[in-house]
Amino acid sequence: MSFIEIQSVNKHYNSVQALFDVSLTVRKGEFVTLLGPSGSGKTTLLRILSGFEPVTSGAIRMGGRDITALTPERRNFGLVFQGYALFPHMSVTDNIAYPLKVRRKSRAEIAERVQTMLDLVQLGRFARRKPHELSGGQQQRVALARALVFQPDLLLLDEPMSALDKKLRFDLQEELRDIHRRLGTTFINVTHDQEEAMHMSDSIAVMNHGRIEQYGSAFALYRQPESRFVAGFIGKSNLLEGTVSAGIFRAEGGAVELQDAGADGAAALMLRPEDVLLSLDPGEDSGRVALPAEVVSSTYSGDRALYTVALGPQIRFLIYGPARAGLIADGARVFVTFDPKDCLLLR
Amino acid sequence: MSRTIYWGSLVLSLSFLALPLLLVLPLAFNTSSFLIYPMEGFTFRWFAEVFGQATWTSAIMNSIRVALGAMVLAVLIGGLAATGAILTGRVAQVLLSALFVSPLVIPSIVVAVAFAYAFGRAGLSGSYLSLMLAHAILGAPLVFLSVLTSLRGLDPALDQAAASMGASRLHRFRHVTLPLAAPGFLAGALFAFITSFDEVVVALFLAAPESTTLPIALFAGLRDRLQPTIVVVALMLSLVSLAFLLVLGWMQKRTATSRQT
Repeated sequence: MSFIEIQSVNKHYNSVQALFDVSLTVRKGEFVTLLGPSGSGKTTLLRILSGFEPVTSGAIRMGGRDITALTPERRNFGLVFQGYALFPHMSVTDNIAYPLKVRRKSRAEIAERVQTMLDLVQLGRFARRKPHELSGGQQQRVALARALVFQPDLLLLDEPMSALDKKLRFDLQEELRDIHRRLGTTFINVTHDQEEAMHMSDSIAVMNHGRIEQYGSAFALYRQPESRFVAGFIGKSNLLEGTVSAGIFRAEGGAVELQDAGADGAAALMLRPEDVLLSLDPGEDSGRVALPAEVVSSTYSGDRALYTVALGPQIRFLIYGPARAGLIADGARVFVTFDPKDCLLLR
Repeated sequence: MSRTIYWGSLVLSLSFLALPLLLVLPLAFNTSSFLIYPMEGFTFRWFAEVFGQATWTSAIMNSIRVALGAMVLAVLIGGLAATGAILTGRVAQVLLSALFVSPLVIPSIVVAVAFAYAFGRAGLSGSYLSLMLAHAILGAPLVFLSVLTSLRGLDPALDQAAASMGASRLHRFRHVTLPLAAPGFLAGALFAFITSFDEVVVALFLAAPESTTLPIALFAGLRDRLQPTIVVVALMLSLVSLAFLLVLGWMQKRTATSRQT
């Protein structure tokens, strides 16, 4: 079932350890993103996968076969570089044809497959251009076509969107997802952009300080983060620091009774902004917790407003509120209400 | 102030560097057989004499032959050395660069004596081969430096991209590195050619009468008798060098524009 297996990979650069016991399995045809801030080890892991960087210990397997010692030339992986790395002296056609020429395919087959790829990335009109005569988005699509034309077992993408502006990025994300769906090739993408990761991937591996913090679907990462880092890195989150004792979470602002509180000790209560409501009175409705707060600021975006409220001197919550009837003024005394079922405890 | 310096240095450099050279050149067309002004008339007689005399024509052919051979050898030695050096670590690269550039730094008279001795023992002295080899060693550092510079300018991701597509090291060199570093190889080749074409000291030690090169013939001509034929040869040498410089300049301009992306 698992196609690519990364088994307990450690990587040292002299005295610095870049990866700590990283393990990951990818199913065939899956779109996986390695997500993390710079220095998290995601690029190192990609370079190990592509074969340009040796591991210090551990193994990489593909379809059960150990490929750890295989050179990049013999891995048959497509690679899209951050700067695209198009050959400046070759036309778009020659760039895409290069991996086929290396494989000594017949002239007719090369022409046919290059044409198929040009159609796939919609660059037929630019076939004769040189890379420097193309825009950033077009160059990226040539790089994608070139990395896919030889039907690689795995496509690796190294921050493919980082050089593009935001609007173009969104379009290309859609396109990339569409191409993935059509070809069924296994994709592994590296990015520091959590939005990009959530839009495109089937699974996301969140990396931090050379470790995989959590591996799962975008939904699982957002709704069930296992660490403060994941909760903070994926989407917006509100944290209330406190302690758990006898199934009750206590913090400065008040106490919350939880059904599944686990062991006693220090913990943080995590709530997504959309799980919290803002109201002017505490209300008497069943089961919702109400904590007093004060509006610090608000950002109006037409369809809704994002409020920053203070629950204590150091505690800030982000809350989405309706904005059809105007905004609640800064400094107003309000209540923050939420359902204990929506809370998540982070240790 | 800066204008004064500009014009001052311009006038000085022109009068000391360029003027003496330029003043001599018209004498190639003088009817008088002495190198003196004022010119007495205009003639191509000395050109005809140069191309008619076996000493000059054979020297020209020798020079071209030696320079071409030295150029090919220098490109092979310097080009391969640079291609290899770029693959090594930082410390190794500094050491290798120092080694390959050393022929430029050692005084040519020392190099000449060393070659004369070594080739003499090997039984090669006086041959074309000895001259080509010696000039190749003098030209190789120039090829090495210009190829190394153009290889350093290449994005390492290009080679890695080609590798990820399954291309062997040789295939990558032939189809990716070499075409992109071609201006460096060409510039190095031109430098190596000019170096050999103009070289006197080593040639003096190594050349036999039948393998005399143009600069040596010129040297001998100066000692023998001062005739406008010498100026004719000097003029031709300058024109060859000028042509090469123009080609180099044009190439640099072309690569500069093609790298703008």
